[in-house]
Order: sequence, then structure tokens, then C-alpha cells
Amino acid sequence: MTEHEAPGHGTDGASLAVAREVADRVRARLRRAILGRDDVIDLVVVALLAGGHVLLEDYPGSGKTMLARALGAALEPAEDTSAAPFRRIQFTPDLLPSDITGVTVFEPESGTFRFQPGPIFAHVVLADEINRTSPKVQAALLEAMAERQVTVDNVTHPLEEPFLVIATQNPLGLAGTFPLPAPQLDRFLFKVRMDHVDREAELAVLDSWRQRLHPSFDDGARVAPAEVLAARDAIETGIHVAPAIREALVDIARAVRSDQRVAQGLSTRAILQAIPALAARALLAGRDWVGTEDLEALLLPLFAHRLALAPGVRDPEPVLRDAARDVLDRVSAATLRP
Amino acid sequence: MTGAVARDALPAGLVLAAAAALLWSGHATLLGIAAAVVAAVAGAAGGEALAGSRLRLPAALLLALSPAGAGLLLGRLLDLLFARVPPPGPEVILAILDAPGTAGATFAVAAALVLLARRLPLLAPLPAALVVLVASLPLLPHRGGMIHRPRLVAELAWSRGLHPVLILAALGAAAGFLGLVALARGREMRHRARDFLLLVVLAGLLAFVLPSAGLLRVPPVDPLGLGGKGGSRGERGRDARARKELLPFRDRVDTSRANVPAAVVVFHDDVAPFDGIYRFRQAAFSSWNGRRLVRGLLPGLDRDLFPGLPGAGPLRRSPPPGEDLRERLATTVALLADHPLPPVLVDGIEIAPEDNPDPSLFRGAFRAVSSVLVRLDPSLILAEAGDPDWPADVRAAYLSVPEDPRYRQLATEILEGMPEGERRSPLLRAIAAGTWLEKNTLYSVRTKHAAAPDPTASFLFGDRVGYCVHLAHAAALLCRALGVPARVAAGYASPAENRGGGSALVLLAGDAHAWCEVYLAGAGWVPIDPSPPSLDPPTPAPDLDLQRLLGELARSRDQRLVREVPTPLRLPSIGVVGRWLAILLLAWFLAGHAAKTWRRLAPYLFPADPAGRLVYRATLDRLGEAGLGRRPGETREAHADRLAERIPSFRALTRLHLAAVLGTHPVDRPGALRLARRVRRELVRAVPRWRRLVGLLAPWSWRRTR
Repeated sequence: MTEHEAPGHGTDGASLAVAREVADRVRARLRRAILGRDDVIDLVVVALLAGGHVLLEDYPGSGKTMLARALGAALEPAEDTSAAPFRRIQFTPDLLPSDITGVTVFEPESGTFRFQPGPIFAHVVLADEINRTSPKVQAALLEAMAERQVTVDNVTHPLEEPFLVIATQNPLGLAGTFPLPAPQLDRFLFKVRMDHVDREAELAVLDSWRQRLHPSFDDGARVAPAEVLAARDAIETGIHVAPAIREALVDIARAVRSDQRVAQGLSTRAILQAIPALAARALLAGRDWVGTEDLEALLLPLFAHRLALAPGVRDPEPVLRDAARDVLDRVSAATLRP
Repeated sequence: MTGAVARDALPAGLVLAAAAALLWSGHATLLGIAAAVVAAVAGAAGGEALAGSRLRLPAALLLALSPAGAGLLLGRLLDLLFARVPPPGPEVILAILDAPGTAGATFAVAAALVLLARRLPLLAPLPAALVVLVASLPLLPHRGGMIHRPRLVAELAWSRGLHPVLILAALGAAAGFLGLVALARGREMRHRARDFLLLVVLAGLLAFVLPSAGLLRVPPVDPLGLGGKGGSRGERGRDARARKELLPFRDRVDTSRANVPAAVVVFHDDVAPFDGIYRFRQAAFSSWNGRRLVRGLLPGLDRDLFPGLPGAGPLRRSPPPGEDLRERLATTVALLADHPLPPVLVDGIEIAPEDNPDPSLFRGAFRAVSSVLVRLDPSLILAEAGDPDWPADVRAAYLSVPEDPRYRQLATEILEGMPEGERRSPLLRAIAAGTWLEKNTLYSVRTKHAAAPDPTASFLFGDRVGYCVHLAHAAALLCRALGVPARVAAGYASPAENRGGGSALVLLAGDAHAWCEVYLAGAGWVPIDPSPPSLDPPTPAPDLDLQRLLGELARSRDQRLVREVPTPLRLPSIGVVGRWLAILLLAWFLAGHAAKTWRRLAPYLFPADPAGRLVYRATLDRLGEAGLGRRPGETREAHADRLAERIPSFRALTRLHLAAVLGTHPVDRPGALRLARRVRRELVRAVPRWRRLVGLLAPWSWRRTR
């Protein structure tokens, strides 16, 4: 990229540059911790900047805990709040909602009830194997994710921003699980299916095996939560989303809805949530405008899990690709027209 | 296992068998065809079994082809066997010799086809294509001179004064276009049936369109070797003497073109010869050269012949004797094939040039007046042999007999077989010689005498299987041995009933004939034309429609019975159409290039271009020209990424453009122009010169810029 398109002109430009630097810092830390997963790392950073949550469909031992911990460690713990940078919740069938949200306990000394926050009061929460727990617990988590607050005993406790849930589920071994229903899947910004890392990355992991056994996450500069929030503001105001891109989103949604292979198409919320994600990706790519490539790159992680397919259709990918193909072709062709 | 193989192979085998029968009919005896049909089914099964076996393809192919060699070998062995063992009869020999060869070849081809189709998916359509080709063979006669076929097209065309080849060519081009369209649409299995049907149409029509030069003309024919162009193809180069020699002895006469018309004769009067056969003489052979009869070596011989086609004026010959036995008949002969020697109805008195009635079809035409021998008078029985006015050397030449004593011996036998009273009559002696030949020889175009030092002796004192050249020679030499002046005449012969009551007679290549003529004082040359039993398939009946059509076309324009229908389908001349096409083409070309140039220059002509559209469009035009355009469904960024390795600067230019269109950054014009120049330089390095040149020439390449 050349100097012409460096993000920034005026005050917006300055804050965008700062936001970009923040994003790069997080990304650099994550890349040092996790090798060969640059695509997933980018999506997680985009989710952080867009204020969304990520569902990882993955197998055990692929480094998702590592990813979540590294992300948590990248955030500076704030002195004035109780929120921890990172918490991990292993979802089991006997888990109770209060195990997540926290409980109100009686303190005999003062004779009052005090709220003991659960593990969800953290900036980064790893919800491991989310489909192994009961729908009740899933609902509690998802409410917290959507509302960014927790209500216990009629008292509402807001969650600290940034608040990012990285949930995982194993694509195999569905016995004894409670698959997430489509409306709940809609609360995740991205669903990412991770493939095995390539040979070189795997070798690099083994080369640094000592570090891997005792990870420190201490190298490199951290990011303050306030910086993340400032970056979000900068993206909101500084990244230009052209009318053509907004039209493309609506057209893709309409095309998907009218597809014979789809039982229930994309919600308006889905395309609404897409805009900050696209803007965040544009920032990561060093642009202050959203391009068609952002739409193409985020198409599957954004929308694939939100489709209810017609009976007999298994793979949402061709549906989305077909819909996007025509729309993106039209948008690209239109750039030559005044 | 074998059951499955048989089940899989049966349909293919039956189709191949039908094709084989079609292919061999007319080329093999009935036994040979039957053997080929059985061999085709067996070959398909064999090919199927070989395809399923573990053998590698070359080995399997060799195994599949081996029966051809075996068949040939068996045929050769039988041939050798019959040379030693007394043959049971000529028909049996020919049939038995035929069967191993046809069966072996058919088996090999069928097995190899099925094997290749099974093993190599690419060659799967091969058997179908071959069957189509064989099936389209019956459509070929149009090329072979059957210009009235296929009737549907030909009648429509001729009735409007058009040559049907034009319509057939147009149909063929249309079919070819459809075939290309079908191919371009991809080949899915379920389209196979339709594609196959299309292929049938295509192959059938291509058979008409493919012939090279002289699309409208009938192919050259000269089955007996009387000096026309072409002639029997197998003969060429193999035997230099046979090529130079007129009317050569051949071991196999090419009968594949027997139905090709060679000439059309229009009769101006209804006169039929005494024996009901019209003979058109081109040449006569009267001098014995130790091996055969050749054209007259003495100046006095055969003075009734015409040396060539009439040039500027008429050629005349003195009328033959026997005015009371003859009638005058005028004919017009239009030649469809080249004839250096004119085929003139015997006995020609005068030939004169005539305008070619249709130069696109005919090679030339002449008018002839003939004195036709219409009856043989009993007085001729006592007529003297030979012309009393002949000088001694001419008479001696017409009577010279080979030194081989067997001729005279046989002549004596024939003479002794005649009743005492008839032996004095030259005519009856000649007729007796002909009758003896009819009774004691067999007719076949497949013989084995060409290599003998005296082919006539080899025929007469050998297996006695020969065709008209052998028979004519034998008759002439026997008549001479019996003291009757004789010669061999060659040309065409066609029974009068072939005219079918019309006034036109088509001379087919298969009508080419040689016959013996004896000279009787008071009658002239009288044909002695023995026709022994034939081993060959009978010749098909003449095609009266073709005869009528060609006769109509051969009549000079003012004589035609049917005036040409006023043609609503008058096509503009090729020159006019071509000129307009060229003008349109040029306009199309120039218009495309004008727009192309305009788009190239636009970035420099209009400086106000905030989104950099003109620069970017010009660059896209250049890329598209070199085959590097954006593909359907590809985003601009993906397009630039795809080209990033070859055209790195294009990425920056694309971002510049998109930042203006999708973002809020006006394009920096000098920077964009600089990048466009860099793209141009990278394009020169990345794309070969020829590819860029092709793109540069393509006038409408910019239409595909997206």
C-alpha cells in the first residue's frame, strides 16, 4: 500500500491511526502465541474491535485456549474494576447458571448480602464445549453475551467492556450434547471452522516446545481496555462504508432469502452486525474504507451459521457463494460507472 | 464372467455387425459378408473380454489386431493350396478365399474399437463415430455423381436452377456450427444421446461438404484405363507399364465407382443397334506386340477412329459399307469426366464441337453422327472377311496371331465343333468363337493374369476367369486364328433398354467395356461380344431419374423441354456478396478499433476524473486484451491479487481506484497515470508478444472489459 491510502486525514485520521496501532499490537501478541492461525487471529481481533463474539468449531488441542488466554493477557488489567482479563468456563452437563453469573452470598460480619461475581465477569471468556451443557446454562450465557449484563436476584450487574466470549464446540461426537438452536447461534458474530495448521506452522510449534509448556504471555506491550473502546469509536466514525457496500449487504441477504435451498435466510440483525465487522477488517487491512474484498473474506464466518437450510441441503457455503458472486460482480462492475 | 461379457458386448457387436455388412457389401462375396457379420459380433465380445483382462493396453491391442494377420495368412495358404489341388470350381474358390480376409479384418477392427473405447475414455465415442461414418456412406453417391440425391434437397434445388451442393454445403455448415455450440456447452453424460444425434447429422453432412476442389463436379473416372485423369487408384505407381498402357490388363478392376456417371448421351432419333446394345467406341487395338493387342502401328489401320475431341471444326470419317443395313443417328454427348478420346456411338461418321451446356457440371460436349448397324442380313453369312481394298500389310496386321501354338490349336477345335456347312462363313466362324468363350469361360473383375507374359493365353489356357479385356482379346485372337480380321475396341456399352424409353442415356463408369470387332465386307465392323456367366454381383438397374435429370442438363439451353423456372431464389453473385461482406467486416473492424482507441486516449483527454475511472478502464482494456481481464464473479481486489505476481503495480492502481469509489480519497491523477504506465511495462514483460499482438488486433476486445 502506498501513502495515498494510509488511514487518516484530520482528527479522524489520527484516531484511526491509533486504533490501527492498537489492533496491530493485539494481533502481534496473538501471532507470537499462536502459530499458523493468522486467519483465525484476524477474525478474533475483528470481533474484539466490532464488539462481537466468536464461536470456534474445532477439535481439542488446537490452541483455542491458548488463543483466548493470549487475548486475555493482551489486555491490561484495570485497577478500578473487578473484571479479570481472562476466564475459562468448562461447560459440563451439571453446570448451573449461577456457576457462570455468580451468586449472592450472606456476609455474617456485616449482616448484608454481597454479590460474588462469576467467571463471566472478565474481558475475555472462553466458553469451552458450549454444547455440552444444558440449554438453561446456554441461555444464561447467551443473555449475558447479548445484553452485556447479568441479572442475579433482580439485581442487574453490567459487564465490563470490552467483553468477548470465545465459545468452542467440537464438530464430532455429538452424543450427549445440546446443539445450539439457530436463534442463539445468531448471537455470535462469527462462527469459525478451523482446519489443521499447515506443516511449517506445526513444526514451528514443536520447535518452541519449551515456551509452549510454560507460556508466559508477558512479552510485548499490552492494550488497555480503554484503548480498545477508543478504537471501536474510531472505527465507527472513521471508516467509510460506501452506499454500494451497504446495498451489496442487503442484496446478498435478499438473494439468500429467495434461494430454494434456504429455509430461513439472514436476519436484518445479521447484516447490521456485519457493518462494524467489515469496518474493523478494513482497519486491519490498512484502509479507511470498506472494500468488496472485506465482504468476500467475511462472508462465510459472518453468515454461514445463521442460515437454516432446506431439508437435504447440508452445506451453506455454495448458497452464500452463489448469492455473493452475482452481487459482488455487479458492485465491482459498477465502479467503472460514474 | 463370460455371460456378462457377452451381455455387454452384444449391442455393440450387433451395431458393428450391421456396419460391417454395409461396409463389405459390394466388395465381398455373400460368404465373406456373412463371415464379417459373425466376426464383428465375436470381435466386440473379444474386445470386451480383453478390456476386462489384466493385459496392458498395447499387448491387448496387439492381441485384438492379430486375427487380421491370421485371416490374411489363412487366405494366402488357401490360395497356395488351390494352386496345387484341383479346384472344386471358381465360385467356391473365390468365396473361400474371401471369407478369411474379411472375417479377420472385421474381427480385428471390432475388437480394437471396443477395447479402445472401454480402456480410454477419450476414445469412447470412436465406435459410434465409425458407425456413423459407415452409415453416412450411402449418402455419398451425391459426390459420386448421383446429383439427384438426396431427393428432398436435390429436387428443390434443381427445380430452382440451383446446384444442390450449395444447399448441402449450407446445411453442413449449419450442422457444424450447431456441433460447435453443443461442444462449447460442455459434455454431460445425459447430453450424450442428443450429442450423438447431432454427430450423426454432422457426419452425414460433412461427407458432402468436405470434398476439396471441384465441389460441383463429378469425380474423375477411368476404370478401364483409356487415358482419362484419375483411373484406378490402386494401379498408380505400382505398375508403371500398366499406367502408360491403354486398356491394361488388371488383376482387379476398381468397381467402387461403378455408379459414377461418366457421360450423358442425348439421342436425336430412335435407332437401336441390331443386338440392342449401344456401343461407344473410344479406341481400337489391332496390332499384336507379342503380349497383347495395341493401337495400330501401321498408318492404314483403324482409320475409322477419331484421334481426339473435335477442336474448332467437325471431324469426318468415310461412311462404313452396308448402307442398306445401317441407319444414321445423331447424338449429343456431354462428358462428366475427362475423356481424351471421344466415346462415339459406333460407327461414327462425323463429330463436331458443341457448347458446354453447363460448365459447372460438364467437362465438355460434342455432337456426333453415327451410322448404326441395325440388322444383320442373311447375305452376310457369305460375306467376305475383311475389306477387299485393304493393302496386304493391313490385312496381315488384322489377321496376325501370336506364335503360341495353343491359339491355332483351340481355333481348330472350335472349327471342328462347327457343322461342316457353316465352316466356310467368316461371320459364323467368328460367332462360333464367341459362343465357345461364352460357354467355357467365367466373368469376374478379379483375375490373376496381369503378370503373365501373355495375359490372354493365361486367361484362355488357364483358369478362364477374366473380364471384358480378356474376353475381347481372346475373341479377337481366336477370330484371327479362324481367318477373320478382328480387333479389340474399347469404350462404353449400355443396353438400349437402359434408356428406359427416354432420349437420354447415362454412361456410368461401370459401363466401360471392351469388345471384339470383326470386319465383314458389305457390313463393316461387327461386334463379337461374348458375355459368359458372371461371378460378380449383378450391376444395379440404371437410375432413370438421374438419367432424365442429366439428359435435361445436357441438352443445349435452347433445346431444353422445361424452361428454367423463373427463380425467386436468385442468389446474388459471390463477388457482390463477398464485396459487401468485406465492407461490413472492415466497418466492424474499424468501428471496434475507433472505440478502443477512444478509450485508450480518454484518460489523457479528460483531466477531470476524480475516481480515476478512465485510467482504470484503459488499464483494464489492456489487461483484458492480453487475456488477463476480470473473471465473472471476481471482485476487483481478487482480480488484482490474481495478477499480483505478474502485474504487481495493478494492485496499487486498483486500490487507488477503489479508495476513490468506495472510500473518500480522490484519485491523485499523476500517481494513477504513473501506475498505469508501470502496469503497461509489466504487461510487456509478463505476456508473450504474439498474445499481445492478437489482443491488439482484436477490435472489440474492450467489450469484455468488466
